[in-house]
Amino acid sequence: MEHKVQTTSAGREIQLTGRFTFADHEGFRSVVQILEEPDASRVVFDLSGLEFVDSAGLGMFLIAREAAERRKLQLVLKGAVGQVKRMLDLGRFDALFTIQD
Amino acid sequence: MQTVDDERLAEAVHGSHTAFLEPVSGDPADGVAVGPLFAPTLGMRAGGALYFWLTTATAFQVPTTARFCDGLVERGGVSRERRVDVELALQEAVANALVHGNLGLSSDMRDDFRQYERFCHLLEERLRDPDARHRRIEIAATWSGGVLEVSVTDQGQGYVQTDDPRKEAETGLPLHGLGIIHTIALSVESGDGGRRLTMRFAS
Repeated sequence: MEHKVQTTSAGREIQLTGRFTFADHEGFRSVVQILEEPDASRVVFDLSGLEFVDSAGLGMFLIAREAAERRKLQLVLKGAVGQVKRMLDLGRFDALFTIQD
Repeated sequence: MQTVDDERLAEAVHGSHTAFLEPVSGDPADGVAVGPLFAPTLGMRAGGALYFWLTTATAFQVPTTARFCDGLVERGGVSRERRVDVELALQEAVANALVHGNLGLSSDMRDDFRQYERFCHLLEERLRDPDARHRRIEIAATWSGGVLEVSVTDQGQGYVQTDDPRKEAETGLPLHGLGIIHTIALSVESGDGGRRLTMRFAS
């Protein structure tokens, strides 16, 4: 998985691309650190470039959610398609996150 | 870490060979075999076969499951339509074999924010450990008559299932590997003291 960060007037947008799996725990630490920066109030994960996610990837979204809650950040998952969208549906992530098409 | 050539792995899987056996990374513990010549070794029926054996370090560095499923599709082991499900189940089995089996890390820590840093630290530490990083994972597939059988074997302590993963699958929240696998596979069997998981799928 690779990530890119953009700062807009609406907040931070983190674009995730590739495969988001058990092999990404180390790389996802730097994403969690972005959520702990003081100047963001809303963070959007753009998942449109994400091809595949496994249960470890879903678990890392839950860790991001907890980090965001601690800082009272709004966290949005946007643009999931295909297998990624199906996994979010299976995990009932709509009850846990703001989901956007 | 040793350099792993993912292109060679992809080439091995996509090649026109009916059989192929070669170290992938220069480490004799890594390799790929495809084709019917390996059938007796795998105890397979008529049909096809695909076999990876990789060190833990290598399996972490290359998209192991994706490459394996590329090979399955190319060689008729699974249809393009069924690939998505098979790849997800296999991914979960490979993750369990590597993280919990060969690296010996507990699944309790993985999704817990308070233990996330510690989990990452331990993961890094185990991947540097010469014994743990060289433990092998074997993925063997055979197929015939519309059924694909895939087994994943690690060299860890062995996992003993204490609760019924089918119950987790029925709750609609299959966020953990075995629950997902049971949702997708026709059957699932554990063997070799919990070091091998064998899954059967409609292909």
